[in-house]
Amino acid sequence: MKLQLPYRIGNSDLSTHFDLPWGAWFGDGPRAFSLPDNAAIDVANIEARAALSADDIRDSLQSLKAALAEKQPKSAILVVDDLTRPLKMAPILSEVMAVLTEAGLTEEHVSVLIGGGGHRALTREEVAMKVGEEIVDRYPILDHSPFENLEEVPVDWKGTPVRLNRDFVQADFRIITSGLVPHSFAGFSGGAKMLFPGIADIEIIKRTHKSVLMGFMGKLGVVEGNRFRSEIEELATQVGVDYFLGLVGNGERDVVKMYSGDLITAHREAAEYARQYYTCSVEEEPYDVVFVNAYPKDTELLQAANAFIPLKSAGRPLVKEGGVVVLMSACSEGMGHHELFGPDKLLYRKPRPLRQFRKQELLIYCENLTAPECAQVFAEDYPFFENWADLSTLLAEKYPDGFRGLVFPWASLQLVGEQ
Amino acid sequence: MEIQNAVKDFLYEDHLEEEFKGLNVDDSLLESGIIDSVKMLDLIGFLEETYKIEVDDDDLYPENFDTLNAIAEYVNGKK
Repeated sequence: MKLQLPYRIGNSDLSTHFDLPWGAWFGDGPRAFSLPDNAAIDVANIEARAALSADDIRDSLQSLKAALAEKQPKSAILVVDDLTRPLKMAPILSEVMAVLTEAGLTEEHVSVLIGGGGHRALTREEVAMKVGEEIVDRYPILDHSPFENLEEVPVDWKGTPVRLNRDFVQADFRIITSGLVPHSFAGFSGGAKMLFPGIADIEIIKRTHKSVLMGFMGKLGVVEGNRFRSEIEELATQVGVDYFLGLVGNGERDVVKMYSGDLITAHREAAEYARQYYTCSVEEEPYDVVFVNAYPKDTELLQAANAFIPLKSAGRPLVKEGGVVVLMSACSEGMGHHELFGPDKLLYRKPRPLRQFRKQELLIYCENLTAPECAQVFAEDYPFFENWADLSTLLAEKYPDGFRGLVFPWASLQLVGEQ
Repeated sequence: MEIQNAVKDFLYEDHLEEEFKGLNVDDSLLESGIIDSVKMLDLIGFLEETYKIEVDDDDLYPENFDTLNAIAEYVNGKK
């Protein structure tokens, strides 16, 4: 279903209602929510921008033609992110494949590698959702595993040997494609992160995640000077990437802007575009209630904390002391999977109350989950709701005279600040 | 073991009693849930003040801070 922008918001005699984008990859449609009729709701929107046309994409790929003509490779590999990342890649990959074919690299010379780091392998149907049926039918699709099919490369990360996916290492021509969304530690996702941790072995993935968990590296929305990104870019440069596509998507997950060529330059350009596009300003006065919808990273509970990005990026409280934050996620795949952070995995720990919500209440609304499952990721102190009417009733009781609310429909993308 | 014990005392909090039970000097403090990014900042401040050392940004890697022994080795190397 095509989403309509801006999202509907209004008051009827009985309720305040708003629609949210819901269920990326799995259902993908507007979902209606109601609140007490005396609630006054603002919505922080992302501007609707048109998807790139096939002509736009072809124009951007002129530099790919030149790079292929210069290197004359015998084989190529394209690294693509997985379903935890929101962009629909089919229109882009279709044009990339056309350019490769023109250069003599047909199906038997080209493969697609899903670089999901420590995430689970995708099914054929899921890969088709990401890259399109045509690509799945014609090209070998490889799913990276951090445990096998690895090859050591002649670089090390402060003494830790680096092993990457063997098919990537052995390919003549290496293309990295990635969408850019705000990332708590790497500034924005994508770029060299597609190698580290995207197609790295478990030791490198572990090292990466430990560093960020210990607070040693990186900051949300800041790419330039980001220590984590500088280090992985240096490693990626040594390993060698022949061509990079940095992609920015709209609220419907279509690519609206594409930067191509050099890994670092194109990623910087894409990050700056994404920063401006995803940044919104909101009223100075903190709200009573802020609703953060994890879409488009709403496939699993393990990604739901990305919905806090607007609150983290604001640099000031968006919610009053004693106010409420409502975390919302479709969690179409339930808990989700991560080789390090999932329950019983190496870096899993029993969740504790989040420091950032010491002065506010956090309510959690997720579908396709139970309260005990939710308590494996978010501290059980936080009330869990699977029925929206119950949550709305609780807000009505807490605020009998109404409340000022703010909704972030695409919270995992939305930064708060000056554009 | 003086540094290891001092760091262990500094990191201890009542609600972490379970995590500290049987903690070995080579166990990962991160994996055991004893430190996180906020606690790390406190720990670095504690090390700098107690041992009169300066922790450089370039030293901020898990290899130097993830176990009690690694922390002791790091501190001794900086003295």
